[in-house]
Amino acid sequence: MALYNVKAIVLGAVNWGEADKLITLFSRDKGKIKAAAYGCRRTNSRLASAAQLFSILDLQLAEGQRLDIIKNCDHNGFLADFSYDYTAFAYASFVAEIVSETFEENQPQAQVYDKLLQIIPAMLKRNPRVAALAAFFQILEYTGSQLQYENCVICGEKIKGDAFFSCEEGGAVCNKCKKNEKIIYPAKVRLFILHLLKLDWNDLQPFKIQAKDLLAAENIMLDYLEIILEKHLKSLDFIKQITK
Amino acid sequence: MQYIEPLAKLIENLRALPGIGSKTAARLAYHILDMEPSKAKALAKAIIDAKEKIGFCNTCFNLSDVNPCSICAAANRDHSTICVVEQPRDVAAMERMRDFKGVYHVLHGVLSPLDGIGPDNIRVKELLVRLQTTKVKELIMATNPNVEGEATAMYIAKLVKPAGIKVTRIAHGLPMGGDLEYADEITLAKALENRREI
Repeated sequence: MALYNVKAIVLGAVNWGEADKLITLFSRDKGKIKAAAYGCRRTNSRLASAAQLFSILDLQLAEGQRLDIIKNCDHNGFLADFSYDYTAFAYASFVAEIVSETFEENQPQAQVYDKLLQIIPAMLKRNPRVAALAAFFQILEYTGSQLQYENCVICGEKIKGDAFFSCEEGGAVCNKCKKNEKIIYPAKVRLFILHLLKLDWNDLQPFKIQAKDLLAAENIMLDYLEIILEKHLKSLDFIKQITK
Repeated sequence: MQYIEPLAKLIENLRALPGIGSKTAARLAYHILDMEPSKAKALAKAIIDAKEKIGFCNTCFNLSDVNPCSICAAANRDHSTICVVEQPRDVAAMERMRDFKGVYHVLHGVLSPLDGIGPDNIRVKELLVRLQTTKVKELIMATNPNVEGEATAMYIAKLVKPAGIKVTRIAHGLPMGGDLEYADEITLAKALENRREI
């Protein structure tokens, strides 16, 4: 069993067996890692901190046939303390679920790891709904399934004014190329998404957005998520419950 | 390996239990076959009885074969102090202590966005109804000390505090008998944060 060391963020943990947990980690060097933390639910386990969501850990893992095994871990603090804000916790979990569902295991994703270090704490500093939307559009750029926002995905022409959007085609569709596209893509939504794509997490400036434009951008995100993931995200059910 | 049909069925059903793999299931199945018929029947009857007779107490939602459960019906317990726990097994753990004289409320889960478990999926509404109909002085939040447990405790505290009920959280820190050098960083930090004057 080869041992390796890695610095990672905890993006998920599910109970497994009698006192174990199955942990989803995201590291700079190896991307997503699924690992078992044996006995971590016992009160005297040194691996207990490995199961805490949004923790930053220094880990030693052993390569396994199906799953890697956490041998040691040092806790380097939390990305954010969500105990006082369950709305921010919900949206941070949504981002975590997108990352764990979108990326394959053992594919280094240094830029996504660095982004997560900035995105998760931002959920407590800014409107978490807008922050999660910005996180989605920015993370999407690293998945290889990014959308086309500025140019028509069919003819390549630069979009001017209002247009349409097709998640199936992979982006904006100009008025000339429109066939059966039903999603209207107003210029304001395009500018909003472009703004979110350039959002600097180190220097978050306040900005105003109309509810209908936010909703339109969110609909694009939800439609596209359904297409690329082919499954429903559980954190969305939670968000629906706390925001109804 | 090809098993005869009744044995294969038994192994398959045992395998569905948590923590039981195919080898353990087969070992248990062979053990059951070796048992005296009366003992095997008693085991089967115990499973059926437990499934049929045990339900939830309408007050605290702990597992019980009577309604209200023995804890909620006890006159010598302090009904103005409610300890909120995640699961029925947490009630059993608290009762092992023999020091707590209040009553319980079992949530049957915690808020967990990644599992899609929100306030509607746990017994929060039932707790709020109980607090309106019973005179409660203190609510002790004894959910597990993790992110989900903390978020659930804070969520309930926010809902309950405006009603003037004292809401407390169980302390986090070092286990009795443990050595400091083996404690992990979060536990040590929490122990220091929750220190008290002696």
